[in-house]
Amino acid sequence: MPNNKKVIPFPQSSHWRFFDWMEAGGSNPIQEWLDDQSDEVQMTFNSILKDAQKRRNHLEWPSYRHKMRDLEGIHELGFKVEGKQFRLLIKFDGAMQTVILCGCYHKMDRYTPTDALATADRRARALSSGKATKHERTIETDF
Amino acid sequence: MKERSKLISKMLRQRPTRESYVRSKLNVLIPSQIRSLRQRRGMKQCDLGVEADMKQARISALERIGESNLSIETLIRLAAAFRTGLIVKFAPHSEMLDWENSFSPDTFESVSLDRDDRFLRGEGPRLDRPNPTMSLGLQEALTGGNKPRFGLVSSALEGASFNDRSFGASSFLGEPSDQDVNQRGNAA
Repeated sequence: MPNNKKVIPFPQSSHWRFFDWMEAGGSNPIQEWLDDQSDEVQMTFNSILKDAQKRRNHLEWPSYRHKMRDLEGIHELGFKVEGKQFRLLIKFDGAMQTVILCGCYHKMDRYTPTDALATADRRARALSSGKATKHERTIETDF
Repeated sequence: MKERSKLISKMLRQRPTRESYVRSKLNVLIPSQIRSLRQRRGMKQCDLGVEADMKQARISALERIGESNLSIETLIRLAAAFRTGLIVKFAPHSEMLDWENSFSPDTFESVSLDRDDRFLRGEGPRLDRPNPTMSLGLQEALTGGNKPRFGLVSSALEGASFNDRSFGASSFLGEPSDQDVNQRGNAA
């Protein structure tokens, strides 16, 4: 190997990073969904990410539910606020990086919006093919 | 999240927003602590269930966010199962936020009773530095004003009978307890 090609190991992050899935055009449907939720949902969402970013094993996140059976590479996070079951469909993308694909509700095996799973699948594919992008979410530490 | 200043202003004005703030933190931090402690002790949910006299499904719900209405009694049972103490205290929002920010789920541990040497040896609180869990008045009473000293709470109670010890913090602070008042009443 020539001397001018040093291999610099990529530093392994000690914290998870969370990203919002974004349209190629720049709109952020995750933030739009979150903006429509109550203050308590928004605060809980931030606290969940704050906790999860510090817990290395994602299977141990209190919000982690399961890997979606029929959707390759998509996992489900869940939490209950104000009596409502919220779901975040996510995809792991790179070392300790999570992309939030879609936010929705869940009741009696039904997701709202009803096309939430299809949306998450479509977005994951768009991300993999470079037709969509991701934007790192700032986890608020001052609130 | 909404702009911080807007949320702060809402919290200042509306009690439901303040409730939401506290609930959102506790709904994450309590399940997270339960899960961390259980895993650190190498317990399965069913093991903890046996120790706390709860079903595994209940433990599972307690470890999920917002799934369970946590009562103090439930937390006491879990603390006993983990062989730890439990602190429930009212605190400034800033302190709550510090707690959340500094909470580290992968390293969180609370020494169990059988390894809590300071407690087992009967040593009292460390008095050489401010103790955030103790009221200022009690700290001052124990340290004799501004004079910091190492010591045992039990040494402050030397010569006191078991019943005297049950007077609690008010005795240290020189405030008459109900028992004091009754005794004085009887003497009179």
